[in-house]
Amino acid sequence: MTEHKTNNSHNSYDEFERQACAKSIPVYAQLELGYNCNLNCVHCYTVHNFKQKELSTNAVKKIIDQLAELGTLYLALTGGEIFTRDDFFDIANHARQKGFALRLYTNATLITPEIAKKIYDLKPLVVEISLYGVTPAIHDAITRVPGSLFQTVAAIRQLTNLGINVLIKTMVMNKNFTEIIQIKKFADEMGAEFRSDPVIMPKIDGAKHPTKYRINNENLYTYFKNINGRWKANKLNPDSPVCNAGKGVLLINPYGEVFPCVRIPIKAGDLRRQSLSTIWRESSALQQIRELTLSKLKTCTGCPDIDYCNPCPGLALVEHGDIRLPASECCRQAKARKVALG
Amino acid sequence: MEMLNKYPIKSNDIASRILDGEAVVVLPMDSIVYTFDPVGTRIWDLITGNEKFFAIIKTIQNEYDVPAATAEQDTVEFINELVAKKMLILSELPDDRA
Repeated sequence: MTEHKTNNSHNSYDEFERQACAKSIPVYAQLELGYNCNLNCVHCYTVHNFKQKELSTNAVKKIIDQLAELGTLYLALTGGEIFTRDDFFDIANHARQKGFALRLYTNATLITPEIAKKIYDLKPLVVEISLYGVTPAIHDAITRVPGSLFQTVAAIRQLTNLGINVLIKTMVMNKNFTEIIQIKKFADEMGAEFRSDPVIMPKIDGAKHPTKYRINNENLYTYFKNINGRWKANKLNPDSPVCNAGKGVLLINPYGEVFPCVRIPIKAGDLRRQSLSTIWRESSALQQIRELTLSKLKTCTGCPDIDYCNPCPGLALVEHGDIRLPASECCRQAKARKVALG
Repeated sequence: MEMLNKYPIKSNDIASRILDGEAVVVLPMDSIVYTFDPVGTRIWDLITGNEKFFAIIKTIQNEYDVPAATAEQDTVEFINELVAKKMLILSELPDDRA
């Protein structure tokens, strides 16, 4: 028997995911249950398509069954806000019965003591909660809902008191940069994990306005230097896959459309018309992403910052319409990381 | 041994899959990913909740070309390890979910 610890050592989990990628098993899937949300975050990347109908309970369960058959082990249930769906626990309990390790993505504002108890009974791997500040002046300004900080913090306390694993996630923006360290401290006090991310995505329809909340170069440097210095120089070889999208990872949106990952808006198929195994085996969009190696990127191979870069085909596509070009945000982050950590 | 008359039953808390012929088990409370070797995977497969411990040992003895005592000892050790890690319980009754 061998073991890989995933909660503290991400390298070990990465190794597990890498092996799954090599075998083309989508061990990690994100399932968006709906784009309804009770908050209205300034940087949100989702776009509600009112012309399409979100999947029914039974349709979602059938997709979960197909994911199990394909070998998916980790299932992230996300939205929108997952607890706006009345059938959430019906869906989530079905997923647990099918043997999935569940990650629940939520803003936590709708978690009452009764819902917290149901989450406890569900035994998810982790509840991932978005928190953008420790004061209403910051957090509520980002969510654009007064009182949301109070509700989210109350829910974090309820869940951690029940012994449920909580991961506090923070998008690092120019609106909350001053509170990132306090958020991390709060997570420590709660016994929760903490993860922060400075990559603010454009919306999935390509609209760029969320990107105006990206932190500037100076703060990016400070962030890598003093707040999140966790980085191992990539030493990518030219034949390395650029990322795990479409190999060990996939995304299904609330309409049943399949994508290589949350950041790559290239539709691989539609589960209302095709089976997941057919899409996974035959989609030319997935094939295109799978074949993308470092040597196929147009200018990245010789870049002096490549060891500090996470090239993202999704960002490149939105920016240039070509997954093989470098996304300027990836370049900016790599440069800052190199200066801070090199 | 009394425990050989019990039914090994998989915990409600775990997540698991057989991936490319290898059993992979995740324990939600500590997030550790365990992968089992081929014999471990076969034993995991045999733990349906309806088979007694000794019946699983018998199957392993029949399927693998090793002395019976070795197969028994290895299976007992492996199942006890899974019990210790809270992946399984040993029950007097078969699994009513099975």
